[in-house]
Amino acid sequence: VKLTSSEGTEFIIDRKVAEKSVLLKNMLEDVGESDMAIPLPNVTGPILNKVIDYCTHHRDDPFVSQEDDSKKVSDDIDDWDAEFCKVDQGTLFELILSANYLDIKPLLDLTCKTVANMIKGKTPDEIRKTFNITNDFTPEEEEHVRKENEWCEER
Amino acid sequence: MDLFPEILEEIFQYFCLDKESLHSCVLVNRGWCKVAVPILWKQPFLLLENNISDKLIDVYASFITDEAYATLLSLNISWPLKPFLTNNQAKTFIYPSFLRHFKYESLYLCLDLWYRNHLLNIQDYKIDKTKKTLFPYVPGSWIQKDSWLAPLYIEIFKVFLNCGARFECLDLYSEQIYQPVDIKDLFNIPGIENCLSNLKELSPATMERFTSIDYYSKLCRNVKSLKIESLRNGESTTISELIKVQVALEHIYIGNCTSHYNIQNPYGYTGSNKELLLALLTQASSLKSLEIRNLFINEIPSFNSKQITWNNLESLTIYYDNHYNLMKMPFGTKHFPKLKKLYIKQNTFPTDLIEFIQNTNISLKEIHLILKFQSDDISNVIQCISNFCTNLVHFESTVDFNAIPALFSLLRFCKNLIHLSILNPFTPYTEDDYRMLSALLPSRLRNLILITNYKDITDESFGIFLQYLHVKLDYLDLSQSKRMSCQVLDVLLDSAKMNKYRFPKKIFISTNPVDYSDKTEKLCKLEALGIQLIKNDDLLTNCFVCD
Repeated sequence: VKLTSSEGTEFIIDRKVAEKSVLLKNMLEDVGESDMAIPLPNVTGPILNKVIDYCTHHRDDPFVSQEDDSKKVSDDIDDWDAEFCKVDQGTLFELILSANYLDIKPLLDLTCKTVANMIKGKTPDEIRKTFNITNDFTPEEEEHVRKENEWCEER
Repeated sequence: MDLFPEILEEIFQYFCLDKESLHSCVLVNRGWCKVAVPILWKQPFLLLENNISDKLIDVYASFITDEAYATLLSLNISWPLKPFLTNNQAKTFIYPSFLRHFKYESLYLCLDLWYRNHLLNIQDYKIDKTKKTLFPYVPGSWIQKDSWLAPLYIEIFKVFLNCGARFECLDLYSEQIYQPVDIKDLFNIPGIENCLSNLKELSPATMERFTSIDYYSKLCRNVKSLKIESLRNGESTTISELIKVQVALEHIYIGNCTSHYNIQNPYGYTGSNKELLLALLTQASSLKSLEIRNLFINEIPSFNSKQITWNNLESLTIYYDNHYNLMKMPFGTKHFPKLKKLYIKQNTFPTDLIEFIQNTNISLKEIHLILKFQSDDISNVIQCISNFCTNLVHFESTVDFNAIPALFSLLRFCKNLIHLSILNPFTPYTEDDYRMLSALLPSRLRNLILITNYKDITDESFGIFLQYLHVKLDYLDLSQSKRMSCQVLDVLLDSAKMNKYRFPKKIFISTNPVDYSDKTEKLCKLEALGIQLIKNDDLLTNCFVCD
């Protein structure tokens, strides 16, 4: 299967690897055998390279049906996956967006878990610093929201 | 780079049971707040765990309509609502609309606290002395609360309905005998149909199952998960009806509390649960998990096992911690093609367990067999598992002295085993047994738990076990089989020198309050070998970490 990244770089991968992406799997089923490259305008070359690395490593993993959200845990990342996610924040966010666009649920879960672990246990201020987020609440709004959610602070 | 709301939602779902992190996300900025608030307010009663909160009620109560307030006023319960509501400002979100998990008991405990706190906060000159004596807080004296708790409860419940909440879980179970609000009254409130139209989990109330069954059967027919706590004498007919009206149940839990009444008067319990088992058969094709706990079954119904297949059942749990013991598998021994997990805990094995295992062998990945009485069957059953369940990943079992050869056979054949938990409450194993056990552990095994509550593993056996280990375990849990002592440190030192590369990453050992001797020197020597004693919050165990 041929894929083209946003800059036009071509990647050739096994069909089995490509089929980890539900988007590509459906496209390949619709189009059938073809030499035409599939354009992926939303994914840059370096990110596509990482995504292919992930799909190749997990090519033989069984398909896991979607678990109930209430049972999601973020501390079950294996060593290879943890190493895979040791990237800068920009790359991590691009990986999330690509996993979402290509519909690769296990990669989306992994990258979201990694971000969740970066948030876990932090104060709002620490979160803002970690992700360079501007606080756009007015002081009154912030005070209201804080008051309305005060029950969370009870122990 | 910004993450759009759908992605933030994916991320925040990992905090659905972590209110501290969700609370931080709520306060980051407007965008994060909009995404985090619905997740935080989806199940606040669950996040409070055993705690109760009056501040949560502050918010919900602010959505009470003028009409409802007038109703409460007419019932002479004007305050504490009035002083609170007059200071109230419009809320940033319609918080009650986000509620998905309703917990009957938590709401009335929170309301009780809220009422008391507001009552006490009101300054003396505003207090109507006669009312104060009408509603004093006396622990355990619930009757006095009837006059205000029920109307207040219903008005708050109406808030959820009026704000458009769609419950996914309706937990009406209460551990307390006192139930201030009649469940029927809740089911009669206009709008309840919409509120329950997406219901997936139901846990019926304890006290009113007889009278409310029609409501459950009418309004809750598409439930996926049904949890019956504390099934009581004579209830099986109504619960059977509830099971039968469901379109396709996936998970059922039926538990009966081990009451003193049952223990002391075993003949006093007259309920037959035969019809309950027959009702479960009607859901056989859709069920994914079934758990039966302390359920008195005096007769297993006869049914045509060829017509009933449990095509989707992945987990079967039979648990008895009282005097009673299920003698046979309740649904026969065939037609469980997808069963992955089997959990049995009772006095002795069901007599047809071997046949059951033979028939479901390939799919079984996780088996737990915990027995209270010593039995010759243990060896036979483990031998059967070793012959048939070669895909086993997780095995937990009582393994008495006589069953050790069968366990060794299982270790040889079940190569995929990752987790092994051995419980030996009877005669201790020999040093040779520990040598063999250590040498036979499958190469993929990562976790090993040994429980010998009869007697500690001897220092000699412990040493032999560590020296002959040939797999690198992630953890070796001896917290219920070995107590800390200076000799233990000597064994660890010797074993680490002899078998350094196969030394477990973590070893848990029970603390020993009587052992006060100075261990510093030995601990330093261990540290030099890369083994550290990590102080645990749990004071009952020591944890040695090998890096």
